[in-house]
Amino acid sequence: MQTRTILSYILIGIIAAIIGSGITYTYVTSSVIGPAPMAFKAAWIYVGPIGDYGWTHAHDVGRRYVENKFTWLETTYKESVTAEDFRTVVEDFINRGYKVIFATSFEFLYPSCELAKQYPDVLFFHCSGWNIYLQGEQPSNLGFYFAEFYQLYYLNGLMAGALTQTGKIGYVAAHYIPEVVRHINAFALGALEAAKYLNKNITVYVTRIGAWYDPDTARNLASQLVSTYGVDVIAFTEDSPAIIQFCQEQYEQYGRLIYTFSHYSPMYDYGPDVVVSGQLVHWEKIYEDIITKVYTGVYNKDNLKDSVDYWWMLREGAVELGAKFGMPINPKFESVLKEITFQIDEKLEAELQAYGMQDVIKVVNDKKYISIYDLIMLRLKQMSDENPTFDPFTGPIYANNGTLMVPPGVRMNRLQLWTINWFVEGVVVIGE
Amino acid sequence: MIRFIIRRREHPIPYSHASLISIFVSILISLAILTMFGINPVIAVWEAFIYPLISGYGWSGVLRNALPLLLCGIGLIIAFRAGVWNIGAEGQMLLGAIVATWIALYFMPDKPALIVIPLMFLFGFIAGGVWGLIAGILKSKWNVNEVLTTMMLNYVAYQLVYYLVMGPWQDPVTNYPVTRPFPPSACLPKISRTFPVPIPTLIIGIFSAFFVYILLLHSRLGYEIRAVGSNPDAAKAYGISYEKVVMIAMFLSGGFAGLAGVNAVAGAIPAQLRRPEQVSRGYGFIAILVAWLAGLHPIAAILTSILMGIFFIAGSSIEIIFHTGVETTNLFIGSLLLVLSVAETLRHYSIRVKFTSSLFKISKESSGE
Repeated sequence: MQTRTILSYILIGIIAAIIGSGITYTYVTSSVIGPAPMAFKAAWIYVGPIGDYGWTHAHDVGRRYVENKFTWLETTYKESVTAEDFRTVVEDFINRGYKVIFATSFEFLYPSCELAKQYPDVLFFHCSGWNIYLQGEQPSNLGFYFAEFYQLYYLNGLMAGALTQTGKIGYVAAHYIPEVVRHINAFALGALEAAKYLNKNITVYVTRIGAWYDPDTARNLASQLVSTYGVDVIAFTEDSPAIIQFCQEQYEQYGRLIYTFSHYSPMYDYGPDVVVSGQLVHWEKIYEDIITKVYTGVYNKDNLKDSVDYWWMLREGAVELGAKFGMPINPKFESVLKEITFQIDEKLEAELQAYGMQDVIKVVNDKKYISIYDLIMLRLKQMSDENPTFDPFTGPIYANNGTLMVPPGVRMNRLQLWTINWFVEGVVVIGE
Repeated sequence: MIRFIIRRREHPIPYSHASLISIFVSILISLAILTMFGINPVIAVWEAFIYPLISGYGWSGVLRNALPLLLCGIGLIIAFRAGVWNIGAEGQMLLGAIVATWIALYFMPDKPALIVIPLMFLFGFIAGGVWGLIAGILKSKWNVNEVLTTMMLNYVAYQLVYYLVMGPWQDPVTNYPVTRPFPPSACLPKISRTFPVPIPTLIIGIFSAFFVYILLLHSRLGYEIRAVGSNPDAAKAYGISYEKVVMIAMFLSGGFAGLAGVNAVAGAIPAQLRRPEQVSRGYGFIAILVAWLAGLHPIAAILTSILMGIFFIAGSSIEIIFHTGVETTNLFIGSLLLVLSVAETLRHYSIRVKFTSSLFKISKESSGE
């Protein structure tokens, strides 16, 4: 057969396929009953795969929650989007009728701002960004939201400081952006507070990956922290349970106990012998609030800049302390933490009384003792209060070069917390 | 009994026919695989390939992906025509990106665009070219295998970019592993805000394709390159300097990849240097397919790079609609690569299948017809 003949067959085939698909598809779509007039479509852009079982997975849980809850809402998503692909993906969504875009990564901050200017009728919600980074260029149809973890990191730090045997604690960070630096600092402040009560010397070794989702590098860095620096607690900011799996393997294969914490999603099942607690998120609370307000018209394309700036924490129920939902502390370690006791001063006693917890005080030889577990529960109550009566970022706080950064009695404000670029004392940054 | 008779064709099937058939067959294979995952291929073709293109919004994405592929592709065509297997377009791209960033942020951050943008492209070309030339010199002087050296130089370039964006050039405002955004004078002008295709790269891309066409097929140097590529010994016998041709081919090849690197940083929104995998993005490898699919013809590379751009957009659309994960674009490109490799053999050889009536009858025929 002549190649020319083959080619002409192929050409006819292509044309037939195009016409055929067009006709079929028009037929298929026209037979579907149109949605209710108020209905709208929202799209989620994810930086990693849903199967990461961390950050992106938690966002998708929130998306599925609102999808099931509201019959008038249609949602979709795209996984593993890079900043370069963001525009292509969002334009595709907008041209398919999506009116609300959730950009769930810090990487998408500048592209979101640019696209929001280009499509003024579409509502953009960016997770983890803030207007200070945009230097006054924020368009009116771009809002921000974030569920903040630093209170939980502080509580985890208390546990880490109480449990560590070597006095060396590791932290594998994704990046050194203010969000992560804030979390590292809160964790270190907790560990140092526990160390102060228990007369320990504690150092927090910090290292970074340079990416949000990179399980292999996260594992390698965790391994390096253990073998080179002798840490026996590892907290992390990475979007997968890779480090938890690493710790569980160390426990199962060598009997070496390295404590660790769930991050964003309930990772307890990946390391039931090593996960002490963790920081968990309820994105659905924020998504439900946003979607409802978009539906009722409270949020519209002209007021997102001024009215949408979620910064939700324990008080709002957007975050939860836990190895998994409903399990604040792994029972395996809860008893251990209850046995670690320390002597309290009058200030702490007054705080306990204010929350009706004076029963936990044990008196031995006229000295008053409570356990680390009691302290954690007290702090949890204080920070969940309508007006939180405790904040880990209260002075005096020293940077790791010895400078006094926050004077005694002063609480850091939101601007300071969102631009924090120094580490607290006790933190050693590796390889910088 | 089945017999396969393989014969060498007297006249190989032209590249254009082999490429068109490969494209068609590979799309069929990809759609068949998608169908196995429960995706309606009719809807897939319509929603992913046709709707974005006929409604117009898909074209800016197609071109934004096609331009770096075109620039890397025509660079590779020069090297491949000289018989030099440059696998290092990724690294050469990154060097162009590094130099462009240096010019934009540190060397002349306050000069007007008319000076900065041409200089970025010029030095980007030279930087990519020099990165290619390293492998070229190693090959021509000491006969070091260029597949290995260009490949390994990719990783050197990756680490160099990592060092810069996580070290001295890191954005001091956010501490994120990207550089500061370029000043407006160093950002490539776009066709429009809704169609953000960088104009300088578009012009340079098309101009380069024609330039390389004239260079390769209508110049003395092009003749020497093709001569070395088809038979180095014969070329030497005719007094063509093998060393010179290999080095020039590698320099030009790397240079065009360097231009793609300049575009990857200065044409991005916002314009900045990022982590290496977000700058080169595998374009340097996919450009190999662009070059071969074009039959190593620079003008045809315009079409094949646009086709790859369409695959990028279509893959993304299929992922959006059917939630197939992130591998759909790779499925299209992978099956095309596979089919094209088979087609390359079938261009030169014909295969006939013969069914003989008896198992015991041993054919006395020669392997002829």
